[in-house]
Amino acid sequence: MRYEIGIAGSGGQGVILMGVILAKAIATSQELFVAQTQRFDPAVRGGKAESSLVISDEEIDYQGILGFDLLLALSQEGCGRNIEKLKKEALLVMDSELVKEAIWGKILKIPFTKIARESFNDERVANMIALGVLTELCEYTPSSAVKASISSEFKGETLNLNLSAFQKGIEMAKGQKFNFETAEEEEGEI
Amino acid sequence: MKKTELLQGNEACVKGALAADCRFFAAYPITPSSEIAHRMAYELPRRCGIFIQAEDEIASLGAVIGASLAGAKSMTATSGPGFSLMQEHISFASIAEVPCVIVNVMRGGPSTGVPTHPSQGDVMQARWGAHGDHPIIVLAPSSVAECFSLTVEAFNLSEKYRTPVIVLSDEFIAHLREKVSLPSSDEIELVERPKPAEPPEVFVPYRDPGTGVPPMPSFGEGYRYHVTGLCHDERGYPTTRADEVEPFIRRLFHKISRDLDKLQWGETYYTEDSTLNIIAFGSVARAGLTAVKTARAKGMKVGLLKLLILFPFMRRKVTQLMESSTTILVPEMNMGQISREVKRVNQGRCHVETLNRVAHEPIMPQEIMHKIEEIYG
Repeated sequence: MRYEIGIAGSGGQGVILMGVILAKAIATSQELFVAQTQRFDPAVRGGKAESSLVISDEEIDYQGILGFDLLLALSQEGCGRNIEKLKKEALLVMDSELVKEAIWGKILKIPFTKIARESFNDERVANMIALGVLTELCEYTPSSAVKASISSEFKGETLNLNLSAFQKGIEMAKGQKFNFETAEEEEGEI
Repeated sequence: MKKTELLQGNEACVKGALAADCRFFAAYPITPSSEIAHRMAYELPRRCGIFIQAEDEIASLGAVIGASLAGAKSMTATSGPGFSLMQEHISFASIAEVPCVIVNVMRGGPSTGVPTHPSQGDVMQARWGAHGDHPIIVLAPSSVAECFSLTVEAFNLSEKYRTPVIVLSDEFIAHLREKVSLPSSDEIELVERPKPAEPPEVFVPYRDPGTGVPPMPSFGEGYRYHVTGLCHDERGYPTTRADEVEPFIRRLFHKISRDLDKLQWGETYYTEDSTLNIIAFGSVARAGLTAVKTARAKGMKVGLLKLLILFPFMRRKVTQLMESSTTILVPEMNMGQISREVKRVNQGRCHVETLNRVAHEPIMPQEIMHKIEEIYG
């Protein structure tokens, strides 16, 4: 078994932190191997920011990406750069406010940033809502372990805010899990 | 059960240094090595060690050499541009025989290049960057666990041979986080520099005790001796006499080369019956292993030698592999630096093919697989 998750966005969205939180959750709760890598530009905000995880039941030889099973796109550029690295049956989750164009078979569109703004009055927690969705979609990330991992990164009010956003994501994923748009529909439109 | 944890390559370097009892760290932060400085700034003061953020990389290694002379195991960490600035002091540490560890996390170059992306462009700088003919030890980790173990070994070798040791990591490994379970302190063997047995009055600081490594008292222990970058005699005083300079420089080389058979640190995979063998190091070795397993699944007789020590170059292990190879493939993130060493020792034994990538992006297993298929025809 080898399962690969990608998170692609831009600097400032908390993309790398999401990868670290997931990796830590897997490393501490599962009898699985995990490797987390990151790609980023020297610019702190706005530049490329990507985080990826390899989850395996055997020792991981190549620590980088062979093909994503699950990709979260939080920017149009991030989506464009990584869509070709998706495996055939892979699932693409995207922030529908930030990613306008994506042609792929299994897509889940959620306006994470908009929800963060409207429900939490803070766009910064869009990553935690998305993390909740990823946690629910990926079978190797128990939500209790991800919660513990989030709790090791934040304190006080910030922790509460992030945990609430994470919970929101979990609930949203539960409702939408099998509600994928299909490639046929996309092709029909063209 | 051992404690498993998620660790970054750079953090593992720090843990390795602390496990080796590093007491002093001076550096100027630079991507992609900065996490080492961050972590050292946190850890060392809590252990009564010393952390200095120096004004530049020249001062960093200067401070490290001074601290080592005073008896503290010492380290610095940098990347390409800073590593260039350290070359003068690497030369000094080499001739003055001061144990120290230099971590160079390679990033895309030349110059400031692509700071956040990986490269293996500093291989020859690690070997020959410092001026003057000198021996050097260069280690190359390819996993988080090896960032730990090779940093420990870097300290051990530097203490054993009184020489600077370079840990040549790369951005892909330095920023990689993996689940690891590190050995406990009682499982780690540490080597300490040899100390003089005789009293200070009769101490001759650079006399060869037979091992090529003179005993080294710390400053403050009552022994007086002269430390200089000039060629010196047994007493430490500058000399230009050919009959003193020649044996001195030869001793610097010989103290390491006499142990060459112990320094063939490489791991072989699937080489029992392989005729096409990959020689790789650092992050590329892992892409190589995945490619080898893919090729094996297709029935191709492909193997891998992962180099853990780059210099002194493990001629014995490499030539042994060449004896049973038709072709050696050397993938690396540069225009061909380790492949030069492979070709140098080849002496016509087999074909040497290269796979070079200078986009400052990792070499993918698929690229190596394509090359394997091309060679197989």
